[in-house]
Amino acid sequence: MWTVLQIELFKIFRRPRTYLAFGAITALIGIIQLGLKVDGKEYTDFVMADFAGSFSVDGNILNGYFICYVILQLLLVHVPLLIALIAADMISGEANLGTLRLLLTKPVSRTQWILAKWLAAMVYTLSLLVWIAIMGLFGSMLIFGTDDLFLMKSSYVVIVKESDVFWRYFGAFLFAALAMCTVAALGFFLSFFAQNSIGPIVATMSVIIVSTILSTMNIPLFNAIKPFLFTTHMITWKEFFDFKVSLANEAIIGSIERPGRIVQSAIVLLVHIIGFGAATLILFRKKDILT
Amino acid sequence: MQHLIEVGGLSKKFGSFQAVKDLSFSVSAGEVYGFLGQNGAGKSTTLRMLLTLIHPDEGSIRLFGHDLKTHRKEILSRTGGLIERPDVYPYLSAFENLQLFARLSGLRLSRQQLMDQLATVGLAQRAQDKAEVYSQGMKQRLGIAIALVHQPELVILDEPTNGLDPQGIADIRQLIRSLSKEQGKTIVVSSHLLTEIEQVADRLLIIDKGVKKVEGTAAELFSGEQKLVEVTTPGAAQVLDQQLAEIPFPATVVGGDKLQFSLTEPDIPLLTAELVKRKIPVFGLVTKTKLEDYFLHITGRS
Repeated sequence: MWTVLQIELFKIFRRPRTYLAFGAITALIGIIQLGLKVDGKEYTDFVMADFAGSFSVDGNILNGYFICYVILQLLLVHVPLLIALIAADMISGEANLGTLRLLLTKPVSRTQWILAKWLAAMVYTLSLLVWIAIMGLFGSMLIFGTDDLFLMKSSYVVIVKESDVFWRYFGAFLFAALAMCTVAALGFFLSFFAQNSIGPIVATMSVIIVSTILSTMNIPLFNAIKPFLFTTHMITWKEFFDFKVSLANEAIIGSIERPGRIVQSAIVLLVHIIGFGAATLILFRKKDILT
Repeated sequence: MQHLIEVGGLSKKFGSFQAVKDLSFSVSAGEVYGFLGQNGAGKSTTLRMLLTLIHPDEGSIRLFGHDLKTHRKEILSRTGGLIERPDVYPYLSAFENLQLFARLSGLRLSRQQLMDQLATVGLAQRAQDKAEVYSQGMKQRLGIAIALVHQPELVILDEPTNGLDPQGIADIRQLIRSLSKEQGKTIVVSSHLLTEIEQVADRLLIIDKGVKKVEGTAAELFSGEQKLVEVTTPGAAQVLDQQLAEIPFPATVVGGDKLQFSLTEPDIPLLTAELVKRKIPVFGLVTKTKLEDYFLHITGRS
């Protein structure tokens, strides 16, 4: 099993397409960082103009933590495409190349092979998230420095103490990894049905777009299915930045306002990941290789 | 001699299309077994079932004395297969492709061992080139190296000469002979290039529309019992219906003025006597033993 996983990872990281995703992320984060480094002052002045009469903020709002939050918000919408590029190609790509025939004549069980491929897709997804963390969090901390994290939510403002931020990012990235692994599992599942990777990549993105629309639209007809859509839970990483407040109206360091929601979302995403993986495995074990 | 492959009652349907129907055959150890049939005859489906790429609907497959369903891994570790095109990873070199498949076979070969294997198929000089720049013939040779990397006792080659130039075809023929005679491997090879099979196979099976038509050695098939006798006579169909309806030799009409009989050698003078007796004008009588003609006759396409 370990050998097969190593081989799958070797194949992933020998393909130019893999580095396209890493390159795209590097470029996107670089552009955001450059833009905020050059015009960040104007941006914060514009945002803070609404609060000018109510309160003023001391310190560096445009710090590395804030930049990382902006990056996460922007990137996690687009990263699924980069994940689908690889995950949705895992089985269909082999069928397209014709290598599926050769692979399955080797003494490796189909179960082992699918599990190794599935794990490799997850490793790729996690490595992409690690790269976002390195570039988005550590890179931004290096360029913009650190301070308290100032966030403007829809109807309130959150200020997270500098000493209380880092573990929240750890949790947020961990949760984002879970969300992106769900995308990878979906792409992997859809790749079973096709003989080339274009179809599953488009299908993966289509499912995400449709589900996201259903998740965000406030239509009673769809409200019943919303809790079961993985897209409803993909943005739960933001919950890590909402904390409990004491009776004295002070932030409780190290607290999360709704931990139950994070757990619930994580369970829904895990069920999707395992469900897509198991469905692929069951179908693939019975599949006739005709390519 | 012990049978290395035993196939019994094998059937496979794709939707309403019957790809293979009640196919049974056996292959002895050390034999080169030829699988003949036109495109869509069921050759590839059968060979894919032998390599677990396709699940049979019915029937049993036993390789090396074990059931393929229950001993898949063990059997595949002793079997090498190349099905149709030799598709490899284009973004990897020949060396990396071979190394990858060797590891999938559970082998950790040294650089020298891998290079030696590539040398046997004439790719040592191009070992570091990416497979995407290889010609069809080079890919085919790499595919064969991959199929043989774990030194299998049984080699299954489906249409190994497809897309190759005459030199490539000759090389594959030579390789099959060498694997069989020098290394004692059992080989199952399919092709629609009948002359190729005729030259390398110890025994042949002709399959058509998923059904076994005939099986035997080339000598058995083309001498003694099954000679093709082609009689040229005007209005062959009419002659067959009206004058030859009662003779005990089955015949088919070919091209309007020819009758084709499948006969044993002693039957040939009997047929000639019948033709004379019935005063049928014979403009030509040719006895054929060519595999192509026999194949076409057997499959009803003559």
